[in-house]
Amino acid sequence: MMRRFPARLTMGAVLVLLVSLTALLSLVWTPCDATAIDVALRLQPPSARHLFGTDAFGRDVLSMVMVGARGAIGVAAGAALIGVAGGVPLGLLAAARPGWVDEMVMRSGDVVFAFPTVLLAVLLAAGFGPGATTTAAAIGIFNIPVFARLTRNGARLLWTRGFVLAARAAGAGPLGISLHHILPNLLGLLVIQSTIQLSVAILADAGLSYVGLGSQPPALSWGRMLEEAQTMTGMAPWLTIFPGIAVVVTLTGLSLLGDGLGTVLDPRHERRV
Amino acid sequence: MLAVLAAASAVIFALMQLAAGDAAHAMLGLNAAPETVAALRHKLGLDLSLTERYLRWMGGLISGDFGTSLTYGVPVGQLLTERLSLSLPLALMALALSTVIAFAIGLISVLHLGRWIDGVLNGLLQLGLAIPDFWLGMLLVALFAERLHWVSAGGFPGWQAGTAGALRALLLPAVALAVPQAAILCRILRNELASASRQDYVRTARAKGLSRRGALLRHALPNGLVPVLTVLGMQASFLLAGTIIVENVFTLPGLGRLVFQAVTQRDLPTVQAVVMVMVAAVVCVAALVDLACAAIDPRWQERR
Repeated sequence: MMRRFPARLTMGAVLVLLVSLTALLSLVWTPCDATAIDVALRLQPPSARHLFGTDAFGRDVLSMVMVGARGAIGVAAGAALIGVAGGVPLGLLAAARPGWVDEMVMRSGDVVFAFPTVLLAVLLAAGFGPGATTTAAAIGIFNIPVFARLTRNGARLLWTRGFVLAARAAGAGPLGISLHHILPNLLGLLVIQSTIQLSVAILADAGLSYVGLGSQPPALSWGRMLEEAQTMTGMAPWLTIFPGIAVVVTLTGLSLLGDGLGTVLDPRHERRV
Repeated sequence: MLAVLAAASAVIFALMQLAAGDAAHAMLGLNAAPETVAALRHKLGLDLSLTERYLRWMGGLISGDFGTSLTYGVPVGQLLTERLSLSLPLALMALALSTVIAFAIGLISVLHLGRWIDGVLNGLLQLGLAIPDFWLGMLLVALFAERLHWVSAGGFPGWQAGTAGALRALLLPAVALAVPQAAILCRILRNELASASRQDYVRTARAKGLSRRGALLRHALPNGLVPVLTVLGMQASFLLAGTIIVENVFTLPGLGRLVFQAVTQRDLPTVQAVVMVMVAAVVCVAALVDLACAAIDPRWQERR
């Protein structure tokens, strides 16, 4: 019998799709030009023409939020990619070669874990200048040991299982076993972890661009919009509310999606009461 | 732990050296005479080899000498103590708040598992997980400072102006930091307690005549503490890093503002020192949590 999709999975998927489609749409269409400055239209409250109002330069906030989605997704996806590309091979290697290789991988992970993402970003920004690439790199570097550890722990369990022993008996080498027998069985876990790391990255990116270490002008980001709105929250609350809601919607979507995937992909995952 | 610290310090140092370019050139401008640059380089110790400079820096760190700030011209150690007197209490306040909120909501939620209160709290939890701390801070300022005028919108009067006033200035930032962390902690606690409540030992305790609440508090809670403590330890470091960003919302002169100014002004000795202190804090907290977990649960060492 097919199991019904949990409600949180559907809701999470809808929200994530909504944000991704908005980001894609912003590539070809936004209600107004997100960078067009029109001082005559400054600080207009939300109206039919400007659904989210306008900012201190008369820019359309809805269009800015749409374009901002692109940056947030770009940084988060880049960071997740770095994490998976670096962490999964390391984790597989560590599991296949217990002993000093394993020890090396795990201990270097400890060193990276000693740096909270924000600090890594500060260091990299001090070194290479702030920007979206720096942010993605900082978060991505933090993601590497996250994925390495997850892969290694999962893979070590699998190495003791019957089907892996059978493959070894049949003469398969560690590389073949890792790729053909271990990795496919870890995909579910990796996908779930990716949704978590994506939301961590979106949160970190928003915070970093808020303090000026993220994407630099003229690029638009939710964090920078919030930073610009800060002195005007009382006068023009829409400037603070909408970019913040965009972050909340994205994070809620990702977290529901991850939870829902957890119940579907991992049969041992306990069903929540 | 020491190995991690040493490795981390080497990473920080290497990155900063890579970044530095030539501080002497940067400080004197493009038109400086070569002799002046050379003199300054000597004064800053830039004419020494990399290893020598690293060992000097490490030696300084151990003896409490963090170098001199390029922008302020004062010892970085002095700046650090000044700023930590704000950031550390803020992080601790947030940690205490988040623990209290998480335990209160977690326990209520588990005692009413599956009923409407649990549902409502779960919804709030989901929201709490998705709110960026600095945005919450901005909303709190808008509501409590600009609308209701209960507190000032930011700034810090300093501890010498009285503890009460200082604590008041730190209250909103602490709440902003605590809520998202409380949501994470609460979720772990709730899941631990919910799965523990289905265990045999809780059923046995109930069979002995203990109430549901008694069985949960006396038997399930201690067993759920280890994962909660681990998360709490991770949060301590997140909070310290989180203060970096939230301090900006409330214009608090803490470590966060120090490090951002240092980054923009390329005051690398300061960046280097602040990052090192924070990393050391993270590593020490992790070690403490490890000890605490071992004390609570003797199986901890083997399980690792």
